[in-house]
Amino acid sequence: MLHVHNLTISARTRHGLQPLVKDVSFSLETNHCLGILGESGSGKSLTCKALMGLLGDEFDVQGEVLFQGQNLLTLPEHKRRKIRGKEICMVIQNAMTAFNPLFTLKNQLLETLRTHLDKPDSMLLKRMLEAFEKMNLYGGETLLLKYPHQLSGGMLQRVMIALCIALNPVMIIADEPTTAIDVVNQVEIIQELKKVRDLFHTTMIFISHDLGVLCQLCDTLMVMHEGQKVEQGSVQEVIFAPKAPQTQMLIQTRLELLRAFHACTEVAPCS
Amino acid sequence: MLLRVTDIHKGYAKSKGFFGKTITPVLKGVSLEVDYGECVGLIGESGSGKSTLGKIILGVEKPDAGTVVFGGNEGKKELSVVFQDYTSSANPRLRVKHVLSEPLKERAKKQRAYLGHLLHEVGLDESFLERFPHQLSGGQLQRVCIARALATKPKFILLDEAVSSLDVSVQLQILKLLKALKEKYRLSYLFITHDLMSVTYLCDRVIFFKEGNIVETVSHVSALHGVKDPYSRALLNAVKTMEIPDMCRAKLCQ
Repeated sequence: MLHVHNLTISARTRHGLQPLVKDVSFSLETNHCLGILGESGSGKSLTCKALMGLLGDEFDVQGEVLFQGQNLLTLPEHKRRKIRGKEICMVIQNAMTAFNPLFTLKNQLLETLRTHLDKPDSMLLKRMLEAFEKMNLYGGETLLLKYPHQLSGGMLQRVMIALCIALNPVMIIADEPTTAIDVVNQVEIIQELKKVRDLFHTTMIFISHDLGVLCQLCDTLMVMHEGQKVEQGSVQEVIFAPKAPQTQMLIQTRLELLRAFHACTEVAPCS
Repeated sequence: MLLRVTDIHKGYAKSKGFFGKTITPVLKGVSLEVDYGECVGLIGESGSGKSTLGKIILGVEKPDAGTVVFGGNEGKKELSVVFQDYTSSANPRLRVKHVLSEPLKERAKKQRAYLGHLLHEVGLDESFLERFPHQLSGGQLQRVCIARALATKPKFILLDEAVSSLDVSVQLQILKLLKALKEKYRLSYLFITHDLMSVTYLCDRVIFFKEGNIVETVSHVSALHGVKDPYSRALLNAVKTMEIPDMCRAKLCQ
């Protein structure tokens, strides 16, 4: 479904090209979920932005991104735009800033749907409301009339996921969708995304620095460090037998925190 | 008792049309105590008023009612603070040495050796003194902020989401640092956060906070599994399902 071949991203600076992501290759099958794990600055978000074609002129992207047989990087902009949004959807980290505060949700959601689907507004609204229901967002009609500031971050994130579903994409890229919201909501968002996978068999790329979140959703994990891929394998392989020192370090620190937590919250830990 | 907060009330006025205002209560009678050398975790979701309480303890905001007594008197306060957003809490135009010497008196500012010593305390070295905040990584800058909090030799440091915006691996380093400093100087912390995991790593006592009220206090973190309040239970279970999937549990007990 998706093949990324030797993707290299560099920033254009006064002193020439500065490489930020070096020779990253991976492929993704239909109905699979790939988790990208890495610290901040490891280039994981940059990689996904390059896939979506969201990087501006100040970045130089080399390599090959084959999506359903088409090379996205050489595709003309207008064709690419059709794929972005309709075929590949993105859920970003900060839902609060993703919406325009001056317009109601109805206004903004319809705008997006109109761009990608050639149908009358009433049909689009119906489709949106259906998507809301699937995401356990009840009272869709009143929800649509609200402004972004009237909803919580977790709510907005769910609206964003619902919008993705309404577009019925083949692939969803989720860039740290749970980082900016509190734990109780995080669990719900993860449940919703799981549901999306079960119901629609959507292919997914999930980016996070949090191993716990990735474990819940993904089939395979890719670990990035300073712009390079250091490890890839199934979730089990990566957690139980990490090869790269960076992965071992990430897992060790995580475990240390978890042990403290585990010891405090279980009546009889590890029995 | 080092810090005693008694029955704090605080509300913010919200304008209602042309005339009249309504007061939205944020804190509804909060009392808590922090002893010498103790770390208390204050946990609550965003908008629960925990940061407002922090500001009142610092003296940045005045409470509508209630008292904050520090070390037995209401006057002198040997306290410091570390905020969540390290980028906005260090002036981007100042070098690290100036950031560190900001809270110091004029004569102490010149003591380069003392500034170097502060950096050593947080695991950095003198070479950082001449750098600007944007030349440091998030974790390094947060360390500088901790060094600045230590500069005045406080007895109590308020940590307002001090590790929340850092990566998990860097979080652990900072938590370890805070733990070591606490032992060394017998510091007291009030650790305000929404992250239950870091609380279990650092704190002795946990207070659950919801909608301006304390809903439950756990006298020792190791008894956290016994929480009864529905809100604390929900939070605990959420973190459990989130952080320890069944697969990882096996790894944990290896």
